[in-house]
Amino acid sequence: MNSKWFLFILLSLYGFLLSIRMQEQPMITQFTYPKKWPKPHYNFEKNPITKEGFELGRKLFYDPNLSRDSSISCSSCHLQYTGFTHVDHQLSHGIEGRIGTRNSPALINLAWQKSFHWDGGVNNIEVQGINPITHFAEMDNTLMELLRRISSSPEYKECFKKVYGDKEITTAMIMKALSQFTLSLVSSNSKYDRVQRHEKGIFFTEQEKKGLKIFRKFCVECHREPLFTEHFFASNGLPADSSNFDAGRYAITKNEEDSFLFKIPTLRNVEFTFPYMHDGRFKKLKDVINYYSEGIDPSTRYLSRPLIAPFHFSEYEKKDLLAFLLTLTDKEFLYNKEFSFPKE
Amino acid sequence: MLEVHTHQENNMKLFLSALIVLTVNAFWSQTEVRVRVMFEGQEVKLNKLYIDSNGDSTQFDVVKFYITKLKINDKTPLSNADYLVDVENAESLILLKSTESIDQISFLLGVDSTTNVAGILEGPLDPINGMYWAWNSGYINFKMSGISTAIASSKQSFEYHLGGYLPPYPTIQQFKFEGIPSAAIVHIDIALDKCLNSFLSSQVSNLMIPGKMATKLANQLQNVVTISYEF
Repeated sequence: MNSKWFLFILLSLYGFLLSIRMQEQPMITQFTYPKKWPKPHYNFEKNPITKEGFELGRKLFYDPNLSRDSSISCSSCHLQYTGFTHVDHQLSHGIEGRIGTRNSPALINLAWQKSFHWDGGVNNIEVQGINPITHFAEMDNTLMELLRRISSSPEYKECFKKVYGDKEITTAMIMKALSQFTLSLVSSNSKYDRVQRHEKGIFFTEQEKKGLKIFRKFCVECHREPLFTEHFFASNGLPADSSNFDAGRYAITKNEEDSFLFKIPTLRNVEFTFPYMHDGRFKKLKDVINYYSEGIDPSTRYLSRPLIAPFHFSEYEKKDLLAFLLTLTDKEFLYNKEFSFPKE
Repeated sequence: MLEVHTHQENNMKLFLSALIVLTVNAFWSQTEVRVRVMFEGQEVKLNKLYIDSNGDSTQFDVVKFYITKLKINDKTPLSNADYLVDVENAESLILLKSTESIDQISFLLGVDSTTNVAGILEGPLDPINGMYWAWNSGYINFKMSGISTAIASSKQSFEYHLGGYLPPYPTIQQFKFEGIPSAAIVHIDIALDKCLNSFLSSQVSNLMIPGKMATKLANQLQNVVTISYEF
């Protein structure tokens, strides 16, 4: 009898100690992506994704308290159903209706991205969040105030404790947790992906096949598979907007050759990420295709080399290309409940 | 009566005397490394008027800069190697106290490129300290602002945020001082009078972005940093 009790106590103690240990060290979740994809650019070693860290990042992403007047959250301009961008708005608006100068980018497969913003000015995803939080035309908050709000919230304290233990909350913890969420936004289950993986019963239609052929001939040099982007900057010859002058990459490098160059965006979920271009000047995908087909002035300075000879697509080719682009829609990603507003 | 010493008592005595010897030793051989921000020989205080030899008066409201990768005798000290010096905060001017005699001291004025791409960092390198550009990721290595009658504009204000790590416009400055005599205090002196004069001679009183001019001005910092001793 005595020995049974002893065993019972020992086991409960063991269980108790184990639970403490589990609390102290959140479990690392493997960052997964399709086998044939390149390795992510982000180095997860210093910020491994944990369930708790991801959930904390998600909470921050959807929290309007990040903005100065608590009116907007990250998700105000990055809506999940539209590939985490702001549809119907050429330029996003921040607090008090302030208008920015650029179209909010889609947040898709960011772990592979080497730089952030249309001009590539941000060199690491961990520091990207400082921009929308502190920019006058976005959340117009300060890091000091953000830290004060978060450190004084019992709810957040609990969440941070789960991720980082008993340490005092820092800016770095906030930014790393936020990145754990945004890095996890991987879209790899579009029809295109399923066809590439030879999934049973999934085939391209004849029109989509023709579209892919056109895509691989004309577009792929900049929108390289499987991420449908390439990590460099290019000018597609859009005439500068005199009311919203933007020299693009030049603002960062001060190199004349970089004038009017912008980051090449991914085309994944492009069906829903309208409007298009850095200033959102095209409302429809059709407009974009028309522009690339016959809208570019080949004499534009700094124009990207693959665009110098006009494409001149036929009406049929345009429809085929459009049909292919729609195969990049990933409904699983757009409706993944794990990425949506945390309800509990 | 016999005096009986237990083992514990003996050990305790030994320990205490060793502690005293160590403390005294440490006290005598300690060398402090400090930063002194100077204007024509006077230590600068913020929002105080300084008159230079040309008769111009100058007042500083912000003077902040990074001293990083500090090495003593070619070794990184155990305490810390990265410092944010802020004239507003007197404590930040004392970098460290070394028990080892200092023969050589080296450091960077600013933050190197590896650190600039390392993502979010803590302590002195936390962007919360206001020495970070978010839109063009990178640290501001050197910040100085105020007013001076040496400036022709009506506002007579100057503001410099020097930074940038990307080639061809790096702004980081490397310093190395050798043959340092044994002293109680080693001062790293920054002469703001020289600094402002050389910046103004480039016809720039406002600069807040990386680029060619930032590199030009940052290179001039080589001529304003010296070292001095207090025995």
